[in-house]
Amino acid sequence: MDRVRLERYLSGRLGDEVRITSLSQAFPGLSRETWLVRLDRGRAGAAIEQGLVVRADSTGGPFPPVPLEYEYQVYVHLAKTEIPVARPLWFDASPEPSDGRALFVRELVEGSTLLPGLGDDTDAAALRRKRVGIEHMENLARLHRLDWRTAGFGSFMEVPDSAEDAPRRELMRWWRVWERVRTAPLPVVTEALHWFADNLPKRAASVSLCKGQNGIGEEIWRDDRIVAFCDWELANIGDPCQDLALSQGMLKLWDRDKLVAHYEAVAGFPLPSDNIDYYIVWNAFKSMLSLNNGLNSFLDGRYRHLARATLGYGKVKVYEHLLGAITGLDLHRAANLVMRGQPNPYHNKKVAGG
Amino acid sequence: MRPTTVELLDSIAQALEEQVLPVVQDKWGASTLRSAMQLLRHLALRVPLEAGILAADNDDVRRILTLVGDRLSQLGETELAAAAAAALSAHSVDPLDVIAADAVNETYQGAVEMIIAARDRLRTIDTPPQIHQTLVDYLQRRLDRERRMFVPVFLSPPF
Repeated sequence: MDRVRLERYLSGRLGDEVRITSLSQAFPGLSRETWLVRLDRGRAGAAIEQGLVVRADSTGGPFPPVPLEYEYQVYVHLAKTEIPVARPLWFDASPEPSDGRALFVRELVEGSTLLPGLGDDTDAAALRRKRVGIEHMENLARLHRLDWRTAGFGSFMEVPDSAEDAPRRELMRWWRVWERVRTAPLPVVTEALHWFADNLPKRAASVSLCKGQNGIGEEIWRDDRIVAFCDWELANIGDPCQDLALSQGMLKLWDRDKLVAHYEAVAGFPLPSDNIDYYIVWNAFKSMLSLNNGLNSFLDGRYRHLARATLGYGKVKVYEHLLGAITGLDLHRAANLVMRGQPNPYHNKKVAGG
Repeated sequence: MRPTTVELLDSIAQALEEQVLPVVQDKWGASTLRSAMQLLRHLALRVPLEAGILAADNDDVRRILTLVGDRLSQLGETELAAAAAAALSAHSVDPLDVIAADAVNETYQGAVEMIIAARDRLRTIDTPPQIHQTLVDYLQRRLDRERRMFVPVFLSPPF
C-alpha cells in the first residue's frame, strides 16, 4: 500500500493532518492484507501518536468466501460488549489507496500475535504452555457465553433454529458454498460430505457466537494474556465445540481433557467429546474449501501469486486425500487421523511426546 | 535426452534452495521462492507420471461409468444415467495429450460426483447395493494412483 496515498486517505477520513511514521504489512497476508500504521495526527508540534490497522482485500480476493464487511460488522457488534477486540473505525467498500479493494480500519492494540519461546523444551516453558492454554480456554468460554441476541448478531448472521438444528445448518451452509466455489468436481469431497451428514452431532453444546478460527497467530497477546481477539471472518452462530476443534494446537499445549474441563467450568456447559471430534474433521473440509476458493483468482489470471497454487492446488490435494481416508473410519479414528496430520507449531516433538 | 525434464526441474529447485534463498533478505521474496521450490518439486513428480496416471484413471472410470450407467437405467434413474452417458460420449483422446486427457477426466469426475451426491436416494432403490460402493472403490483406486504426485511434497511449508 502506497504510503503517500494512504496518508492522504487517512487525513481525509480522520479530518486531521496525518503523517505516517511507520507502515508495515503483517506477514504473510495471503488471504487479506493487514497493514500496521503508526502516525502522528494533528499539527506538527501538537501532534498525538496513533496506531491503526488497515485490513484490505487482496488483489486475488480472500481465501474464505466471506465479504470483508461481514468481518467489520463482527467488530462493530463486539466492540459494544466485554469481549476484547480492537475498536473498529470505518469500512470503505471502494477506497482509493487500495485501488478499490474494500478495506476497514480499526485501532491498533499493542501486543503480538506470537509467543516466542512457548515451544521451548524447559520446565518454565511447560508451565507457560499450561498458563497460555488456560487463558485461551477462559477467553473462549466468555465469548461463547455472550448474549449474542442482545448484541445484535442475529441481524447479519445466520441463526440456527435450535441447538439440534445448529450442526446441520453449518453442514448445509458450507456444502452449498463448496458447490459454488470449488475449482473442479471432486467426488471424494462429495462422499466426505455424506460422511459428515452421517456423523453429525445430535445437538450443539450450545448456540453460541463462535470465532471460527482461533489460536496463536489469530489473537493479540501481551504478557501471556489475550488483550484482543482478531480475525473474525469465519465467525458464526453455532456449536462452540468448533472453536476448540480449530484452535490450531491450543489443545496440545497442556492436557487436553484438563483444558476442556477448565473451559466447561467457566462456560457453564459441557462439551461432548464427539462434537469436538466431529469439528476437528469438519475443519479439514472448511480449510480445504477456503484454500480452493483462493485458487480461483490464480486460475482466471487475476492473481498469479505462487502461494495460491501451493495452497489452493497442492494443499487441497492433500486435504482431498485426507478426506478420502476418513470416509472409511468412525468419528474418533477420523479425528485422530486429522490431528496426527496437523503440525504442532507450539512445541517440539520431544515435548509433545511424538 | 539428457538432462531429462526431471533432472532440470530438480536442479532448478535445488539451486533456488541452496544458492538463492539463503541470500534473499526480503521475507516476501523468500516466501515466493519457497512456493516456487515446492511447485518445481511437484512438477518433477508430475511430469513423468501424469500421462500414465490419467490414462489408467480414464480407462478405469469409463468402465465404472458404463457399469453404473447401465444399473441406473435399470433402476429408472434416467437423469443420472443420462449424465453418465453424456460423460462417456466425450471423444476419446490421445493419452499422450495430457491436457485433453485431463479435460476428459474432469468430465468423468463431474458425472461421478453427480451420482455420489444422489447416494441417499439411490440407497432406497439400489438393492442389493451396487452403485455407491462401486464408485467409492473407484475413487480409492484413483487416490492411490495419484498420491505420490502430491504426498509428501505438499506437506512441506507452502510459502
